[in-house]
Amino acid sequence: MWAYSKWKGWAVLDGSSWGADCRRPAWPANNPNVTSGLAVKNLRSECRWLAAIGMLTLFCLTAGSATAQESVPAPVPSRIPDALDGLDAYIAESMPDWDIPGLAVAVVHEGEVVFARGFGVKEVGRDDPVEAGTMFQIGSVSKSFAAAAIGALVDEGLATWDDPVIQHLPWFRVKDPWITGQITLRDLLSHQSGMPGAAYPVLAVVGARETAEGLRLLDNQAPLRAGYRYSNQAYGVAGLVVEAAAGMSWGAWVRERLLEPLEMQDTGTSPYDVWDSVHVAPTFLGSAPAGVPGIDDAPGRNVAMPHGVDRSGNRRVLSWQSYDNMQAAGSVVSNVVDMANWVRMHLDQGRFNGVAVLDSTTVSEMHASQVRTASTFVFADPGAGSYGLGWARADFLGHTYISHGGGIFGFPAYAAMLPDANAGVVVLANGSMWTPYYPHHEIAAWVFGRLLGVEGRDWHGEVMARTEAILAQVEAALTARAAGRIDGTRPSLPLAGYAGRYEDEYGAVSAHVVHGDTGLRVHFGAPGSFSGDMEHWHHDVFQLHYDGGDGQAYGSSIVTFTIGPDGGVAQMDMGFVGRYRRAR
Amino acid sequence: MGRIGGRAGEAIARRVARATSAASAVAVGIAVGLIALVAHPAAAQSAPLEGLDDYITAAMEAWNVPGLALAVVADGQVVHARGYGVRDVATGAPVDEHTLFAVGSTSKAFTSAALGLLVDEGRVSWDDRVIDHIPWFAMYDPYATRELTLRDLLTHSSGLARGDAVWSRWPHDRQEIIRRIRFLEPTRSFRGAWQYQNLMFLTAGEVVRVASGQTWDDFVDERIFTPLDMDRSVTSVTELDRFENVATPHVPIDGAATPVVHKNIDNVGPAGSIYSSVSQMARWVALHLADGVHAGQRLFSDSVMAEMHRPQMLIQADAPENSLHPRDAPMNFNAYGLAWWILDYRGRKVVDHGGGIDGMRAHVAFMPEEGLGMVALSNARPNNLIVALMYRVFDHFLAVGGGDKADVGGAADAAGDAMADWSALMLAEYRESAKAQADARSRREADRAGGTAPSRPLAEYAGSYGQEYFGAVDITHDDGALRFSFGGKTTGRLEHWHYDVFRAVPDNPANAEMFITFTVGPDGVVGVLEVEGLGSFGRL
Repeated sequence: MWAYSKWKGWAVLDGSSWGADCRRPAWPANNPNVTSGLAVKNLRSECRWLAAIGMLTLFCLTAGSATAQESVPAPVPSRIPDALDGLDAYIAESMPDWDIPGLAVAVVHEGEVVFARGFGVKEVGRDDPVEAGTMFQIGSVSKSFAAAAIGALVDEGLATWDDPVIQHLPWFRVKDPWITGQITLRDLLSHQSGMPGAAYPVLAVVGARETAEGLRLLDNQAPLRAGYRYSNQAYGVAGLVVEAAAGMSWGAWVRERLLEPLEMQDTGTSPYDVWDSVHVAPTFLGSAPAGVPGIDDAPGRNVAMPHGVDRSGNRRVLSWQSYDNMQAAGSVVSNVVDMANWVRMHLDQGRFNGVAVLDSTTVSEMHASQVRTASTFVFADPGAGSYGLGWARADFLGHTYISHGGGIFGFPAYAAMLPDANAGVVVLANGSMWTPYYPHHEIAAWVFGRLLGVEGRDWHGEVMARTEAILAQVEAALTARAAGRIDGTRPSLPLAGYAGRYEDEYGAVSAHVVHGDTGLRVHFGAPGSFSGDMEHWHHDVFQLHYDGGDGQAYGSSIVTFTIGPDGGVAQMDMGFVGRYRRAR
Repeated sequence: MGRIGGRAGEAIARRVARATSAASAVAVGIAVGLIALVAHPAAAQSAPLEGLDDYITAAMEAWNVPGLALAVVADGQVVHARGYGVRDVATGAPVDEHTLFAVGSTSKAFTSAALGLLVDEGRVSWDDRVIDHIPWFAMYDPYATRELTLRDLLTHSSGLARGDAVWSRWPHDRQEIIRRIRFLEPTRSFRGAWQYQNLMFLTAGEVVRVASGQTWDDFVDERIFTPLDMDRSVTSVTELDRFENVATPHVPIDGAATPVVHKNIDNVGPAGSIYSSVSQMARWVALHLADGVHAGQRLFSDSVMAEMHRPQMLIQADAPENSLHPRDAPMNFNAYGLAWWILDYRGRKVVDHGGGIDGMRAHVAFMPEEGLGMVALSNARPNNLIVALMYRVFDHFLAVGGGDKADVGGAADAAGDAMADWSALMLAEYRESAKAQADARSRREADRAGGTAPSRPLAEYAGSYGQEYFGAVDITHDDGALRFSFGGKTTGRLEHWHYDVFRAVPDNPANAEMFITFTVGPDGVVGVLEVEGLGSFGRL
């Protein structure tokens, strides 16, 4: 289906992984005075970066397909008190390779936080170091909160995992009426609903209810329960179910039932808990209305800024991005200290400091395999992956490995648990993702490998080798794309001929093309909505450079116009952003 | 209303009676008998149809119709059957009442009748679900797949728009076309609106095959043509070479009716592939007027006939294309039975259906209360004269000697005589719509951007492009020019229009021109083409 092919790329956003930019990462984490400038630019020009969503999909597939060494189940050793010696040195030494401005790491073992500290800087060009208490957006790691929030409803008898959504939201509809009646809470949380990944809600500024109501117009990306189909929209609906069943807002329920008992006092459920609204991009692919902010715009707050690259390959600061119209899919903001408590509760089957926050059967249900997937963890057996409720499950050296990534632009986030080792790792970072969470995976493998007594594995070397391989693929894909660019062509029409309003096929949203001093621009209406500049590529094809988001992860996408029999523009195809007909 | 004689018969009788000054019941009987005797075979026009020949001849010239045949049935008898003009402008061979024409969509009533025979035998019911007879059948919408009945197949209630190019432009066979129905997105809600749909009749033909074990063609031949002695009627153009006296189809080219090849529409046969003559079709009409009895033998039950002739689906009044009838004709209702339109005219129920394929137009109609029916077949398209003749024939009978010889819609003035000149009225309407089309073409010409060139060298447009529903469009580059082919069935050349838009000019002049718009992708490859009205085709 069109919608599926157009939007499947979104699964990549938070699901697992995405592509690379550069082969010789040069960010010197241990020397924050060296700013992005030349070094970064040079290496960018040397290797370029990921540009097309099609390539992202490629990465998604590649990322799950490799595992390295033969895995031999190892007996869990008793805790080695100094097993984690050298963790900070290892991270500090690896950061230049990882090309991340700053990150924070927490390790939980045997019910205690045994490691929690920051590395690098909060914002490039500044000295302010990342600390254990520095706040990040955790993106899709929020999905584990969504599942737990519904788990709390289950505990209280306010819902069951197998309740149809319409039992809680009588107005809820997807395009297919039969599926409308069948989708359960379990389907939402295990990515089996087949709903779209996320369409125009990440482009236009629309509310949560309107976003969910829009599902009635959209083609599902897959049939119901046809397999794992990552869907942020489904989690958005799950958040509304929580509100309906709990009788309070998503944020209030999460705070009351999860954050407060877990003493996660810094954690919030929206970027607006931390920032004034003008400094937050109001939609995921939008940009902050007041322009790009910095840490000085959040006085008194210990925040990290997310980073991407601009169209020239220079490192740049991004704003925090709102996912509030699909809140339960990615709205949580936190630090590794609070997140360590979240992991402790999960490792202790719902208990925290001796108190049952969630019933153990509820936690077991969240961790249990609900649907098969390709494993996204680099060091896992790729054939043994599955997804539970808000958590992915894999096999690491014969042990169950539970994790989830988060991918707000410039905020790669990761939480992982190895119950056999009674250990968990949280990594929150503020760098663009030149490889799909590989640094995060590497840190988790390093920690769990030490705790399992694994010897002789060069996790860093393996990750970097895989990184090189992926970069070579990116290189090849970009070369292929560049080879398709035709020199010496001109747009068919004067640029003003492309300007106007365009409508999507659902009648849900309009795109506006405007012709100004800088050439053609496109935007989706309200201030802060998705927008960008169009640069001529060839013939009636333009390259789109987003104002917001991370040009490195998403690069630029391609806009293809079609001139019709009447001599005017008939259609604008924006690739994964959608296809739009000229409004008459 | 009494069936004996019928009102038309009474009208004839009154006129004859006046002429003979013997207005008695006996005279009525004699008069009706006389009419029947003199009218068959073609002879001097009987009194009720006086002047009709001249009217037709003049109207044919106005419409630019080379050949036409008309049969009229009254009170169980063929009272008029004759041909006018020529079978082919190139040969000048005359049309007579035995000349074979394509009857087009009036074939649909044979398909519903075929199912009616199976209903009478208890092998199917009108409300059987299609999937119970064709398990692999699927509509786009699963609810419609599950619920679509034989009655729905015959009443244009599927919710689908036509999508006719799948059979008219591509060479798919019947089963393949039926399989592709699942890709045709509905444009209206299932049973939510009347929308003319040929593929549903094709599917009905498949149900006939499955339920009877005979092809639709054999079944119609054996179970309908044979008992009606329609021995010069066939279900396929491929059988025409067995016969003499076949009309050639004509389309207007530069204003002149020009012969074109017979279009083979066997892949949608049950929706319109029958060829017949007015003398043979008159028996078909008489069968319907006699509620299923032919030559004293009952071929259909009363109830099956009644089911076919009663309104099943209302036709929306706000869609002018849903009516063949002139704007000014008074019409109180417009509905569809099982392959028949049901409407009213001058207070009487009319059951009719039109037909039209490349270069041929047909009309079949009857007025049950009057025992009156007609068939008009012609070898030119477009023309609506055949519909006008229905009204003319009805008027001839209804208006005779009665106060209801009304000047309907002011047409009488235009005709300058006492009778409504439906042909002139409909010709004026046709010219209006033809002018609108010509205007649209002019606007299109005005929109054409001068001095543009295709983005890419022509050779780069070549390739195969595909779509699930229709199939493939092949573009070839040869000798500096582009050609197109829809699976080899519809072929022609592409003329550059502007930018990456081309005008597709089919080799067969009976086929309309189309605009094909190409899109050059980011990789510099021509990746997509859009055929106007048929949607996008991606490079394969």
